[in-house]
Amino acid sequence: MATEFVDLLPATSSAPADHALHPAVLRARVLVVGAGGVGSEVAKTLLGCGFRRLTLVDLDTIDRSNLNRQFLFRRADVGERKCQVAAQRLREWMAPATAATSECPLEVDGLHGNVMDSARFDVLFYRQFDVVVNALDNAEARRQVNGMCLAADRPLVETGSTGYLGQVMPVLPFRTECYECTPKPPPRQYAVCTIRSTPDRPVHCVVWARHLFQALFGKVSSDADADGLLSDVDCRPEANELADTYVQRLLHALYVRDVEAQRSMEDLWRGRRAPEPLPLAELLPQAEARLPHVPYRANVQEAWPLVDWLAVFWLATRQLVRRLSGTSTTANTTTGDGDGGIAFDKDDTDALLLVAAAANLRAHCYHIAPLPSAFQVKGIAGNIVHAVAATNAVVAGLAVTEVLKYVVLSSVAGAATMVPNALRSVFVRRVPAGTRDTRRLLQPERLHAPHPHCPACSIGKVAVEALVDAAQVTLGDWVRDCLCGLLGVGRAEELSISVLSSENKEHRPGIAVLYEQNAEVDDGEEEEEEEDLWRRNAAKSLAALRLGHGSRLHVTAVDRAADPPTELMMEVCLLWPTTATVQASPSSSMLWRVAFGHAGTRRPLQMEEGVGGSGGEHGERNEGLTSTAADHVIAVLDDSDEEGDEESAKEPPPKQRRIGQAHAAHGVVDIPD
Amino acid sequence: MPAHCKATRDGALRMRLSVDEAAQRALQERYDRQLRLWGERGQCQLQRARMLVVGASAIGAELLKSVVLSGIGHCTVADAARVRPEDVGSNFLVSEADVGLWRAEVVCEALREMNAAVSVEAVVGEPAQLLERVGAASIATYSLVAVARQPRSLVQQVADVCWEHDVPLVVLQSHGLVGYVTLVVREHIVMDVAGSGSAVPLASLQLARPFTEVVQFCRDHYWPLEQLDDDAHAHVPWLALLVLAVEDEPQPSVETVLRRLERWRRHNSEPNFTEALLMAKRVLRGASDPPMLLTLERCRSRPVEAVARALRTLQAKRGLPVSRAIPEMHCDTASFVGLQEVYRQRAAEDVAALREVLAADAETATGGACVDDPLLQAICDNLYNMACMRTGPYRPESGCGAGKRRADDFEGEDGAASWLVLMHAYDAIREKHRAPLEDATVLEAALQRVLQQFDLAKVHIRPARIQETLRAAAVELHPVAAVVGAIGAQEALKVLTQCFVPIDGTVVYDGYACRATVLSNPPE
Ligand SMILES: [Zn+2]
Repeated sequence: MATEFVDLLPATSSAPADHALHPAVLRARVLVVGAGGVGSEVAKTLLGCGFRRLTLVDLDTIDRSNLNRQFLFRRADVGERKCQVAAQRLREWMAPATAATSECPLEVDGLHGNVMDSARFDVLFYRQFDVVVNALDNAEARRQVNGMCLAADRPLVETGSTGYLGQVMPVLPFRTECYECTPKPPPRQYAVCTIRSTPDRPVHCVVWARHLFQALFGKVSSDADADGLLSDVDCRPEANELADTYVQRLLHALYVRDVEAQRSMEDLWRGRRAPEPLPLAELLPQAEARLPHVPYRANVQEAWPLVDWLAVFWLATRQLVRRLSGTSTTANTTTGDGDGGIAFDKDDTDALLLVAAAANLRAHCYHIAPLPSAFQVKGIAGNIVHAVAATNAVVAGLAVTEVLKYVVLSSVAGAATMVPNALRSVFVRRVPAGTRDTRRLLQPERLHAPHPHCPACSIGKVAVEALVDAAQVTLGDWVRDCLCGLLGVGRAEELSISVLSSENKEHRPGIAVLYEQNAEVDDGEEEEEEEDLWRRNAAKSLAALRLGHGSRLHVTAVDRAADPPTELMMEVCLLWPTTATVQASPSSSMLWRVAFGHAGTRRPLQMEEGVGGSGGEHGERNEGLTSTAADHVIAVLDDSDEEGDEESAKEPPPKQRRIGQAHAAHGVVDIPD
Repeated sequence: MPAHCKATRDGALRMRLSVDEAAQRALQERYDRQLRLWGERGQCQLQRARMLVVGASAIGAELLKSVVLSGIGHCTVADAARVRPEDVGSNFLVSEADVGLWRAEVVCEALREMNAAVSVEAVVGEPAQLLERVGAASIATYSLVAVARQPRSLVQQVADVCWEHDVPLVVLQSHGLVGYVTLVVREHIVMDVAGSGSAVPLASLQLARPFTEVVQFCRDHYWPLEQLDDDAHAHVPWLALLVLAVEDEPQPSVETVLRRLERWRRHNSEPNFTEALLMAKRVLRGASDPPMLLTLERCRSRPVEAVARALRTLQAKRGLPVSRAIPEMHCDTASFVGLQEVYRQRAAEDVAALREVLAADAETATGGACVDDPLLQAICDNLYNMACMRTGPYRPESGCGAGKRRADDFEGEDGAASWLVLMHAYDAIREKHRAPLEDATVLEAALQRVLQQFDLAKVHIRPARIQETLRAAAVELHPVAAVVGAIGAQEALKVLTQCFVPIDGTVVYDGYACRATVLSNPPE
C-alpha cells in the first residue's frame, strides 16, 4: 500500500482549536527524558500538537548559560529545578485552552531525578508511557534509557543537537535498530604516560588537571586516580588545615616535587626539553599581591600571565576547600556538593578555574604553548556542545512528528505493521548534502533492522512476576522454577547469572556474577573456590541477595551438547506486584509468571566477544572528560559536515554502511509501496 | 539594549556593552554555548542586528523565539490580526487571556519576558495598512526582514523593497504538513565560512613569500641550525623551519624545500621536522591568492569593493595581510610567544598600511564608501574564510526559479518543486475565492496555468499531492510551524552572524517524509 502520506491532518482543518484531535493523541502518555534545550522544545511542541499527558524527568537545575535556548526559563528561575519550572510554564500555557476538553484533562508532571536511578525509574515506570523521547546530553544516560525502553517494550525517539547539526532516531524495540546497535565512536583517549609524564599539547595538561580536580575535591569513594595519572600526589586537604597553608603545600607537591621527580628520569627527556619546576619562592609573594586583583571568572578569553594563574589557583582552592568542609554534613543539590566531595561541573566557576589554573601552571613547567585560556579550558574539560535554540527547535519538531506518526498509526487497526516503514531517522545538516540534483538540509533515512549481535537488543528481555515472597525463595529455587521451568532454559546447560544494577555503569554482563553452573566440572583450586561461592549463593534467598522488585538479572545459557553449540542471552526483570496474592502452599509451577517481554532466541555460540565489548575500562573512566562533541549527537553525524568541508559534505548519507551484514541476513524493514 | 562593537588595542573585536561589567559577564554566560559556534564577532553582529518580522502566527512566533533567545539586537513584529481562540495552544507566545488583543503586541510582551536584553516593538493595523504602518522606507534600516504566512501581494511588495535596498529577506509558509523557507539576498558577504574555532588557514601565514620580520626573527633565533644543540634543534617550530627553507628562493618549489628539510633533519624522531615536511606540501602547493579576492572586487557593497581594490594595491606593495594568530605547533613557549608576537605586529602594520591605501584612494573618497575599522579588521582576519553569495529576486509563481527547473525537481523522489508550485497555486486561488477550496479541478486548472506560464506544461504533478494540498487547506500545524520557523531562524542567524553559508534559494520541508530539499535560485 502506498505510504507516502500518513494521515496526520486534523479532521476539520478550518478551525484548528476545535478540530477533532485524534483520540489516540489525546490519550497517549509521553515521557520526555531531559528538560534542557531539546527537552523543553519537545514538551512544548507535543502540547502544541494536541498531546495532553506528559511527564518530564530531569536532574538539573537552571543555569544562566541555559537561557540562550531553553525558552521556558527566565532569569529569575536560575537555580530552580528544570523539570518543575518547565512543567509549571507548560501548564500555565495550555491549561486554560484545554479546560474545555474535560474528558482528557491536561496532565503535565515534572519529576526531579536521575534516570540512572533504575530503582526509581524501573521497567514499570517506563511501562506507563506509550512513547519515550530522549533529550539527553550524554551517552551513559542514553544507553540507560535505551535499555529500559527495550526491557519495557516501549518505543523511543532519540535526539541529539550540536551547533547547526542534529539528529532524530526512532527505535521500535526489537523491530528496528536501537541506540546501541551502532558502536559509538570511542571517546578520544590519550596514553597514560603522556598525561602522566610527557605532556606536549595543552589538552594533555587539561586532562591531567581534570583528574587532579577529581582526586583533590571529588567524591572520596571515587577511584579517581586508578590509572596512576597523578603518581603519588596525595593532597586532599586535611581537617583543620588552613586553606592558605594547603595551597602552598599543594603547589609545592604538584609543581616542584613532582616535576623534579619527572625531570630526574633522564630517559624521558632524551631529544626533548626536560620540564622545569616553578620557582615558587620567587613567585608566591607576587601571586599573593595579585590575589585581590585577578579577574576571578571563567569567560575571559585572553591568556593570563603566570603569576595571575598562580593567584587564580590560590583563590579557587580557598573556595573549594571551604565548600568541601561543608559537604560532609550537608548535601547541596544545586552545586553537586555532597558525599564528601564536589562534582566537577563546567559551569561551576571554582571548579573550572582550578582546572584551568592547574593546567596552565603545568603547561608552563613542560614548556607547552600556547597556554589555554579559561574559555578554552572550559571547552575541553567541560565537553561543551555548541547549542543554538533554532537547531533544538528543528530537532524537537522532527522528534514530535515521529511521535505523532507512531501514535496515530499504532491506533489504526491493521496499520501497526506499517509503523516501521513510516517512521524515519532524520539528520539535520548545516550545509545541504546529497547529489547535485537533490540537495537536502533534512535527510531522512528508513529505519534499519536491529544488529543481530547488538549487546542491548539482540538478547531476550522478559519481566517475570513473582507470586511468592522474596525471602521465601532461594536463588536455586528461582533457577529451577523460573529460569528452567518457566523460561525454558535447559537444566544441563552452562549458566551464568549476573546482576544489572544502577551502580553498574557498563550495563554489561559479568560485573557482579551471582551464580554459575558448569556442564563440565573443571578441577583446580580457584574453580573450586568459585563453585563453593555459587553453591552458597544458590542456597540464599533472593531477599538475602538483595534482589527485589525491579532487579534485573542478565542470564547467559550455553548448550554445548547441541550441534552446533548454541547460546541464549536474556535480561530478566523481577517484579513483585503490589496486590500480589502470595500463595499459601503454591505449586512450584505457579510461583512465577511472565508479565511481558520474550525470552530471546538461541543462536550459534559466538567464539569471540560480542560487538558490545568495546570501550574498555580506561575509556569508560575518561568519558565526559575527553570524548568528542560528536559523542553527544546520538549516532554518527555526518563527520564531513562537521569539518565544514563544503565539498565532501555532498557525499551521500552514511546509509547502511554501518551494519550491512545485518541487512543481508535479516532484510531491511521495508514494505513496498 | 543593543551592544556596540569597538576594536581594542590588539584589534580583537570585543563586545563593549553600555552596561556595567557584571551585566556583560552575565551576557557572556548566557551566550556561552553559541559564542563557541559563531564567535564573538558573530555575536556582536547579531546584537547589532535589527530584524523586521511580518506575521505573528505560530510560524512567525517560532522564528522570533529562536532569534530573540540567541540575542538579536532588535525585533519589530508587524501583524494584522487579533488573537483568535485557535492561536491558543498553537502559538506558544499567546495564551487564553490574550484572545481579542492585537497578536503582535501580545507576542512582543512574551518576547520581552524571554530575553530582556532584546528590544522589541509591535506594529499593528488592518492588513491593507500594515506595510504603510511599518513604513516602506524604513525597511531599508533593517538587517533582515522575515515574512511569515502573509498574503502574496504583501510578500511581493516587501520583497521588492528589500531587493531595492539590499536587505536580506526570508519568506516562510506552511500548508498542512509541508512548508518552505525562501532566502533572498541580492548580495551577502559571509565572513567566516568555517565557523569560530576552526583552524588558522595556512595560506594566511604567507609562507610562500615570508615577510621581512619573520625571516629576521627566524635568522636571529634559529640560524644556523647546525649550531643548535640536539634539544633546541628538535624544538625549532615548523613554521620557522619553512621560513628558513624558502626565504632565499624567489619561486620556492615544494621539492627544493622538502630536500632542504630532509638535509637539515638530524634523525627521524624530530617531531618538528615531521610537522614541517607535512606542512610544506600543504602550504606551498596551494595558490597564494585568497580565492575570494576576485569575487570581492566585483562586490556591490561599496566598502567591501573598496577594500578589495586596496588589497590588490597592498599585495603589490608589501604582500597580503598576514594572520594575527598562528596555529598550535610543537615548540617551546618562548618560540611560540615570540612568533605569535611577530605575526601580531605584522598583522597590525598590515591593517594600518591597508587603511593608508584606502585613504589615498581618491575614488573611494569620492565614492562615499565608508570603511570602518571593525570591518577592515574583520576582512583582514577572514581573508581566507570569506565568501560572497547571491540569489535571484523573489518571484512566487516561478517558485523562486521554478521556471528554470528541470522536470526532475517536480517528478523525482523529492519532487520539492511540485510542493512549492502547489502551495503557490493554492494561495493564488484562495486570494481570489476566499472560501476553502474543495474542488481538485479548480486547483488543477490553476496549477496548469502556472506551469504553462513557465513552459512546464508537460510536467506531471502527482495527483495524491494535489489531493493532499486540498485536504490540508493551508492549515498551520504546530509541529510544522516549529520545524519551518526554526529552519527560518537558522538561516536568518547564518545571515546575521555572517558565519557559515546560508541556503541559496528555497528549502521545501516535506513533513510526510521528514525531508527538506533545497532548490537553488541562482542570480540572473
Ligand atoms: Zn540494538
